[in-house]
Amino acid sequence: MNDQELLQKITAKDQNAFKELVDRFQSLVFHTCFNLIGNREHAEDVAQEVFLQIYKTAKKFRHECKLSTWIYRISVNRALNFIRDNRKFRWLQSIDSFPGDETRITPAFSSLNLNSHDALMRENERKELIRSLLDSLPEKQKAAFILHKMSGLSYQEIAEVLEVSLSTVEARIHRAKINLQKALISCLKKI
Amino acid sequence: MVMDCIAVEKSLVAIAENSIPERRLKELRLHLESCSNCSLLVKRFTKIWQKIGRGEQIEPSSSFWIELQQKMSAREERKFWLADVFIGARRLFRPAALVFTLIAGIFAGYQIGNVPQDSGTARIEGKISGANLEEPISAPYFESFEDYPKGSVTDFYLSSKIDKKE
Repeated sequence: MNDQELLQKITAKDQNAFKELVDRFQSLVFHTCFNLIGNREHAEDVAQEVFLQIYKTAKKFRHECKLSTWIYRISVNRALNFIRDNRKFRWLQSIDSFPGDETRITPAFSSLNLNSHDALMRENERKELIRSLLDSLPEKQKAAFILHKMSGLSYQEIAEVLEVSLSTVEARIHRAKINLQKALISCLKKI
Repeated sequence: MVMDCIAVEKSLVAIAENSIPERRLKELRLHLESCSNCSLLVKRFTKIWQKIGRGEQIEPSSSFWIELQQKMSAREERKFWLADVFIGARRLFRPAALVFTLIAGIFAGYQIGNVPQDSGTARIEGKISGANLEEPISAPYFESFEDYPKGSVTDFYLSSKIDKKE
């Protein structure tokens, strides 16, 4: 079944066709959401929301781009919305527990053991460091960088997903790399 | 020419991604041979940068489809329930809301129309806006400006007005 047939059946509320779409794109959607959000449970929730939106709006897809591009676009938008909403929530939490509270959101890298060289080698801490670095990026740069570096999309594909020009994608990825480079250098110099 | 430490720091991403030009690579090697700090920095940076590229290899849980179906049916139920409530509420509240808006509009209009027009504030505002500048200036108007400094622009302006009137 090609993409067009699949979507026609989904528009007609065919559950089997929808199941096939989920099987086909589950990994793509989940990984995109996970790479942007950085939390498994939240990424899974958002990925399910993405499929619900696809189910609801399948008839609106005009086949002007590839189905995967459209699904990437929904995934990125949903994940970024989640991050935005969650940021507000975390900000309120941080205000709530600000004065000398141990549970407040700590700045990036503070949980790492910066006195030890070996600490950085440990897998979990390295993951935490990478997540902190990615979270420190502005969301547009983060989306472009993750789609390129982690999802392996070309600049042209990213431009289609984010609905921006090729030069904008290039600029965003370039700036993301510079920002990450600066952040990682300052972190490594502290060790 | 040999690279310096700052140039190495600026080229770390290019080094980690193997996208540094051949000519610069020679300069870099020369520098790294002589600078242990940069050599260590490059090693650590490259290790972490390559990790960023790989991402984490995790898959969604096996209950993904089941949970998705549950969400779908929950949403459908909620949609029907909300639709019923919304239709009922609209039938009931629309006339009430219209009547309330009408009454509120009449009340607001009445209140606006009853604002006293002869208060000092209204008169002063009228004069300042220039609407009645040529009208004779009444005593209460001057009383409100008793404290203006002598010799100021206000003093000059009001004195000339009083002179003209006299």
